[in-house]
Amino acid sequence: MHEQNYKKYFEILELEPDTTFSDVKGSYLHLKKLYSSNSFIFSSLSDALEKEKRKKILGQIEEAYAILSDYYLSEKKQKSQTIKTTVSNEHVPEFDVYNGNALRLTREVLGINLEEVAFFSKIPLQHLENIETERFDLLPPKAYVRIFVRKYAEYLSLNIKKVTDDYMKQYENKK
Amino acid sequence: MKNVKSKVAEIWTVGGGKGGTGKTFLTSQLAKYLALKKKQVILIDSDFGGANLRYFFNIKKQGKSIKDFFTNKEPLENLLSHTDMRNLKIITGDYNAISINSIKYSQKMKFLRHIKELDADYILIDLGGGLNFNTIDVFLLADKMIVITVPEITAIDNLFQFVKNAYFRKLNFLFKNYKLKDTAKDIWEHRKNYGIENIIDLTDYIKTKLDVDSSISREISEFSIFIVLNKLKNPNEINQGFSIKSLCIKYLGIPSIYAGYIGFDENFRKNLSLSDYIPKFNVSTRIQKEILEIAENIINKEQITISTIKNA
Repeated sequence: MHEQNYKKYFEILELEPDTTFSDVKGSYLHLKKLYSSNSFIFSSLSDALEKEKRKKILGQIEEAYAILSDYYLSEKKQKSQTIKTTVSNEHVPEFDVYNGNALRLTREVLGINLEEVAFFSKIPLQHLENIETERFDLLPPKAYVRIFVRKYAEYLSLNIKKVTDDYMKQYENKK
Repeated sequence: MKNVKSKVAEIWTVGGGKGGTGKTFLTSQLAKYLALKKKQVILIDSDFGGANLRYFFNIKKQGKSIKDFFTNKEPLENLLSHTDMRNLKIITGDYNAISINSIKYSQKMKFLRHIKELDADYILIDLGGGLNFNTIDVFLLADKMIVITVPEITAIDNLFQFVKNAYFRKLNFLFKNYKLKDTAKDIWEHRKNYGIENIIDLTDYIKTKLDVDSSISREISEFSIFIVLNKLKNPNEINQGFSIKSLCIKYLGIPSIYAGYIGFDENFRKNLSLSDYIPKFNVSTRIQKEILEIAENIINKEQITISTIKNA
C-alpha cells in the first residue's frame, strides 16, 4: 500500500494525496451531485459529447471513491483495533440495535465528523448531536426526528429502514 | 549560490472577464496583506478601460499614471505613487488615458518586459474586464494567475470564457515558440484520425505521443489558475467554487486551485457609495480573515476543501 498508487484517484476527486477521508467523501459527493445534475454551469463549456463525457466522469469518480474508501478503511483498521465489533463485507460494524451510540460508532469508523454530516444532510448540527446522545427532550417533533435519522442513516450508507425503525422505537419508549 | 539579480518579483494578476466581480477590491486587499507581511509590493492598475484602483488607497501625492508610460515613454519606476504603507507603492491607471485597442504590439511587449524589471518582492496587477487580447496577455504574464467571480450565471459564464481564451492563447504562444503551430493545427483539423475529441486530448497527445522538447510539456502543465468567489450571500454558494474548479479541470484540463471565498458585506457596499466625501475602507475582520486565507493559499499553492469550510 503506497500513496503513490492512489495518486491518480485523488486527482480524479481533485484532492491532494495527503487529505482526510472526510474530504474524500465530501469531494466525491459534491462531484457526483454536480455531474448528475443539469446545473446551468455546464452550458458554458458543454460540447457535442456532453452526455458520454459526463457518464465517463461519473464512472471515474465512483471508481476513485470505491478504491480510496477501501484504502482509508484498511488504514483505519490497522491504526485502531479498539472498536470491537463485527466487521461486515464493507468494513462497517453492524449493530443488532441502532441507537445514538451505534450511529456515532459507525460514523467514527468511517472517519466522518458530525460537521460534515450536517453540511451535506442539511440537518442542523445540534440536532445531530442530540440524536447521537439521545437527548430526546431537546429534539424537534417526532416527524422531524424520523426524517433526520433517515437522512443520517442514508449518509452513512446504512440500512435506512432498520436504523429508522430501531431509533424511533427507543425514541417512543423513552419519550 | 547567490542570484545575479537582486530580486525577482513574483507577479500576481487578477482577472476574470466580468466587471463588478471585485477584481480591484481583491487585488488591493491582497497587496495590503502582503505589505503587512513586510514584503515590498508594487500594485499596477492596468484596467485601461476603467481604472479605479486609486480609490482603495490613501494616495498622498498623485504621481504620474500609466498613461505617461504609453504616451511620454516614462519608465515605470518613475510612475510609482506612495501610499500610507511604506512598502506598498502603486502605479495608477488613468480613466481617460488610453483606449485598450490603440495600444500597439511593440508598446505592449515593452510594457510586459518593464513590469518584470521592477524591483519588488511582489507585483500585483489589476486587470480590466472583457476578453481583449491585451488584457489576456497581461494576465498571462503572471507567476500566479487569479480569477475572481460572483455566484451568478453571467459572471461564471464570463469566467469560463476568460480562462478558456487565456489558455488557448497561451497554447498558441507555446506552439509558436516550439515551432509546432502547423503540427498542432494539422492534428486538430484531422482530430478524428487521432482519436482526439477535445483540448485535453490534444495537449495529452502533444505531450506524450509527439517527440517534442520536454519543456513544452512542462510549460503546458504550468498553466494553472487560482479561483476566488466573491459576494457570497449564502453558505451553500461556497460549493459553487468546487464546481467551477471541477469544470476547469475536467473540461479544459487546467490545474485549478479553489483558493477561497469572500462573503457579501453590506457595510462595504455602503462605504463605496457616494454619500461620503472620502470613501472609507473599514474592511470587517471577517473579510480580513477571508483575505488572509486566500492570500496564504495562493502563496503556498494550497486549496480549500470541503472539510476546511465546515466551520463557515
